[in-house]
Amino acid sequence: MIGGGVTEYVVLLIYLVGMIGIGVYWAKNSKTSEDYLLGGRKIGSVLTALTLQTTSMSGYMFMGGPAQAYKEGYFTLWYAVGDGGGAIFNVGILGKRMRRLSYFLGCLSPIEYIEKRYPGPATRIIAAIIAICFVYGYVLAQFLSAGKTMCALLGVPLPIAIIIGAGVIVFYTFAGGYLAVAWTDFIQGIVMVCSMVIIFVLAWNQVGGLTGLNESLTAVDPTLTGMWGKDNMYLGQWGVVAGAVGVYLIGYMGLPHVVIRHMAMESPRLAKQTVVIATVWNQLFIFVPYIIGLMGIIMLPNINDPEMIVLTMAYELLPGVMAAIVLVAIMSAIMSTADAQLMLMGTMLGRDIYQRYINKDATDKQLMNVSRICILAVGVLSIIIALIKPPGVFSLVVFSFSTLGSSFLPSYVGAVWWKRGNTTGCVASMICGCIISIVWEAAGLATVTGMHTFFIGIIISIAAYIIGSLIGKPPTKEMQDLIDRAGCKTKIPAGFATVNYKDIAPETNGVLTFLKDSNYMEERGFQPV
Amino acid sequence: HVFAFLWP
Repeated sequence: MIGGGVTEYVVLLIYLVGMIGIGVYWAKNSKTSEDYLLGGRKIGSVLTALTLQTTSMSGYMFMGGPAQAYKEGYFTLWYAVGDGGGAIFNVGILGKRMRRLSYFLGCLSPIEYIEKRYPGPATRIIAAIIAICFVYGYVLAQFLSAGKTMCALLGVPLPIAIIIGAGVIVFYTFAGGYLAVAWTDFIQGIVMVCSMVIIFVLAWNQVGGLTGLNESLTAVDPTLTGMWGKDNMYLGQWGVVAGAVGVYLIGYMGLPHVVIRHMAMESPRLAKQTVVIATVWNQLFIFVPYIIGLMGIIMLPNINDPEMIVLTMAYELLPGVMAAIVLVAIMSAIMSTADAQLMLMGTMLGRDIYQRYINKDATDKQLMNVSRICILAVGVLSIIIALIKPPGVFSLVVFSFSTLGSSFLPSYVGAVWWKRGNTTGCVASMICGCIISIVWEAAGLATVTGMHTFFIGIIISIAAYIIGSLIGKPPTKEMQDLIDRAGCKTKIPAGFATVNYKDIAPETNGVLTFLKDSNYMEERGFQPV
Repeated sequence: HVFAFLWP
């Protein structure tokens, strides 16, 4: 136990009450199912950027990341290199087009989006089974993680810590829906990045800046500042490096609880601001934990539990209240990921199961209420499972990221960038991506072959998508037109201006406006095409 | 070549 004083309890209580307050506020403002499940598609660029990134970053960044850097040296920054560019790929490739196509197709859930883009009975069933199993595994892990963190930091007994930590997440997600999740993510994102940067700046002075840090590390062990890990344990293993970079550089495009953020954007035109805000946030938040882990080698050479580096530094470098805020930041990182996954579970069960198979004529109000009940039910069930910890359930978590990424990434990207992408390709890629990820991880082949699970999973999944799409029947003409329209590529007949009057010379603009507004051409026998 | 890492 590191904290546990009155200050920590007061700061944590203020934070948890604040989160509940946001849930209550947005409960009153969610009028329709689109409001509740997608924030009414009215989420601005700052909110989109922060909810996108905080959903992607879990408590690992405060605990597991620094601990890994402490053990393996600079090599772990390969993960940061991929992670840092994740938003550029995610928003740049999917943002605009997925927002448009999901709107044209009238989708409220990322699984419904896959089924409508790749119509067929197998699509939704396979997609829903993969998503529900592995997102649920994720929810369980985050709930247990929230409890363990409170238990380790405050000395609260684990069962009580799980009930409080997970209970608050369940309440504000259940009450306020997507808008509560987005706004809590926004606040959590600010707390997370500020805490991390403050610790980094103070520790920076202690180790003598970057040069001082690197010289000290080289003095301890020269391989710590090399590219291949402590004692060159990964020497020449480019498959591991490609997997470490790729898993976070492109992996988020396959996570349903992350890509749903594109669907909720107010306008496709917000993507350009979103990509800048998310990238700046990433650079401040992602590289820093790993470097703090490296600083820990110099500042805390005898620490028993490397996962406590960030918090130990906080208590050594900061006054009590500030250190307690770092504790809140760790909880924020866990909660911002858990709430998005819980929200997605409710969306999938309400929209993709209840409205699709149980009550096809469900009204908007019924859908909203059923989604709410599903969030509450999944939340309570997860708390119970986290408390009794049945064997085997938590092994799901090990597979979650790679399996979700490999299963869905080709289908989400191909949906808006390849008109030939079809149901056969989508189903083939989901099945192959899922099976290869599970087998590769379960058999421990990543260690044997030096090929990261995600790296091999995504290669097989992309190949299956391309081959399946070339073998299967092309999408309908209507679907291909919609994909063109989502990319603003539909050919418009001559006679309709496809240039922006603001961008052309004033004289030309004047002539065009005159021709458009008058009957000058028609009077002389010219008919518009 | 290591300074591969220090992308932001």
